[in-house]
Amino acid sequence: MTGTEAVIEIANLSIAAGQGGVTLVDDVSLHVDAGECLGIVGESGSGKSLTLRSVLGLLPPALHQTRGTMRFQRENEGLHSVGPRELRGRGVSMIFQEPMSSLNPTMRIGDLVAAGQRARGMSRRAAAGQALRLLAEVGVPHPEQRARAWPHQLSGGLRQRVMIAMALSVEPTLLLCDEPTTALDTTVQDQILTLVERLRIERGLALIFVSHDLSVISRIANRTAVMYAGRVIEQGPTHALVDNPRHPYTRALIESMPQLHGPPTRLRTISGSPPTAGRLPAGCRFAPRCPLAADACHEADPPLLSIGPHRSTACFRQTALNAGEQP
Amino acid sequence: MTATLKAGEEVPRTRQPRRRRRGDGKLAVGAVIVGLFVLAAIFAPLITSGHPADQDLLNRLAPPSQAHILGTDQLGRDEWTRLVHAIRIDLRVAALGSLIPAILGSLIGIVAGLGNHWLDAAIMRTSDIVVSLPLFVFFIALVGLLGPGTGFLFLDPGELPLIIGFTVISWVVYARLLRSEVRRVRSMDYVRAARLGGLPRWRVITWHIVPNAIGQSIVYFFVDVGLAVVAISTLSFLGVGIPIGTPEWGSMIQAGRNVIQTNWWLIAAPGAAIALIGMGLALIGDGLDDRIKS
Repeated sequence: MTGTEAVIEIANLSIAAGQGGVTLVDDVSLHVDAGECLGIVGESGSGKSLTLRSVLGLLPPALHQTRGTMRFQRENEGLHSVGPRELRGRGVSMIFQEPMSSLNPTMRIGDLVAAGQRARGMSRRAAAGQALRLLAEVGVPHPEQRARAWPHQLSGGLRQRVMIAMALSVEPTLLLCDEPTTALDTTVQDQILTLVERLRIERGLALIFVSHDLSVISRIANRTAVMYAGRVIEQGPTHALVDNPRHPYTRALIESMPQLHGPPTRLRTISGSPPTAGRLPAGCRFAPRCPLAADACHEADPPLLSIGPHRSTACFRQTALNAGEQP
Repeated sequence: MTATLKAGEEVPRTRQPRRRRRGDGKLAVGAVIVGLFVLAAIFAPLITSGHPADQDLLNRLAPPSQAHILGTDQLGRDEWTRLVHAIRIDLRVAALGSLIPAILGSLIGIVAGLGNHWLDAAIMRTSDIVVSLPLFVFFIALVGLLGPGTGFLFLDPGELPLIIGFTVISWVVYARLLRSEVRRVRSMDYVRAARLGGLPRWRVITWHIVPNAIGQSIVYFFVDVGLAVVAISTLSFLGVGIPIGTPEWGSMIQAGRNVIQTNWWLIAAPGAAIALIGMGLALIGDGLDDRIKS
């Protein structure tokens, strides 16, 4: 654990479908420090979004949290055990992937941003003033005019900025980002990432940023957790993790990213497909697709072990990976 | 002329004319038709001569003329006067007979859409029962049971049972409409976002769910008024509901039925009135629908 105090600590989180059903998220432990961005990267179905959503108790009705505790830092109170619903609008906000469906089409932009504080008893005028300041802070040009606009009159990038302003209106210390840039084109995506990063630094916000796109994660996250089939399989500072992956899956993810620099090479793919929850292979979940898999990998699931400062990985074949063994 | 703009100053923009939106034409035509009917109902005494019950016994079944522009009926009553005065009754009963179920049914639908499984099931099964009622048999039984009554507030005798009947029948449509719309909107990201923002439940409902769910029921309301006009006149054609003798389109058609060979305009005029007001209301509904969807 790092020296600065964590804003949120999630321990041993497990999520299953129904009572005693299929386990979708298995024993995930994460923490985020103030002013830090934790990236969670993984394929569809890896459990990254479920993990994020469970923080605010936003699981689909059929799913249940079967294990796990959550502790949250409140001002001058230290870390406290909390239930997900206690965090809604009090310390934690969330932004979503689809900026189109995330804004109520029957409310004007200014009213949308003001709604959070109005519901908390702030006067109409004060809330409207705060909304204008927030719109300016997130880089909406001409906030006075935009405040009177309807959501459908804004572009995707502006809508996402409005979403962020709404999220900030309740003064959160932790902002959850559920693939907020996936629906945007690359230029706008970059602008939104720049904005999120600026808010992290200026406001000292803690962020959890979920994406399937490792390039987005490596751009924004200080620390990254890689998820595969419901488990965290590697965790560490983003640069160290990208430069020197310590899990075959992470390495394969990085190698499947197109490179701008250096001679053009054929992109690598990961053979096979991720296991279906409920029909997990025995042993390591990645073993059937892993080029380095040994007998041990098919027998036991490797635990997530610390392998250095702030780094941990769940792989038995550390030495083989270090030796640069290639398939 | 040169003008300099300081940093942050707004570039002056020319005001653009409001863009025409889909459905504007239908809305305008529908509003004009319905507006004319409403005006005619309000100013009925000014555009007609005498009381709708006044008889000109020497001029029974007269053809259209200067004095009686739509002629007279078998009792020598001026057809035009009766036609215009009938708007007051038909439109009033139809509007109320749609507004009350619209409000009631919408509330019930919202409760069903938001409520737990059992409440929802109870409301929906009740609505299934209502839908299975044979409409006209039900009305004849109900009006027979309640009798015309003595009037209620500003309602004349015979009108209240009709409105009660409409309410019992048509709340179902609004309840089902709102229930499915509420369920659709409830799972939208912005509702989720509002809940996550810690907004109290009733705020989420009044700010985010209801405004996005009521559109279709407003559209249906206008169509429903038109349908109610048809229902009222059908019932009085059958001799149920509005007391005989009251100027009402259905009973006017019923009376003119016997002289269709000679005085066809006696049923053509009220028939056209029913069709026209129904079309006007449907156009408003359709225009609103286009607007919502565009």
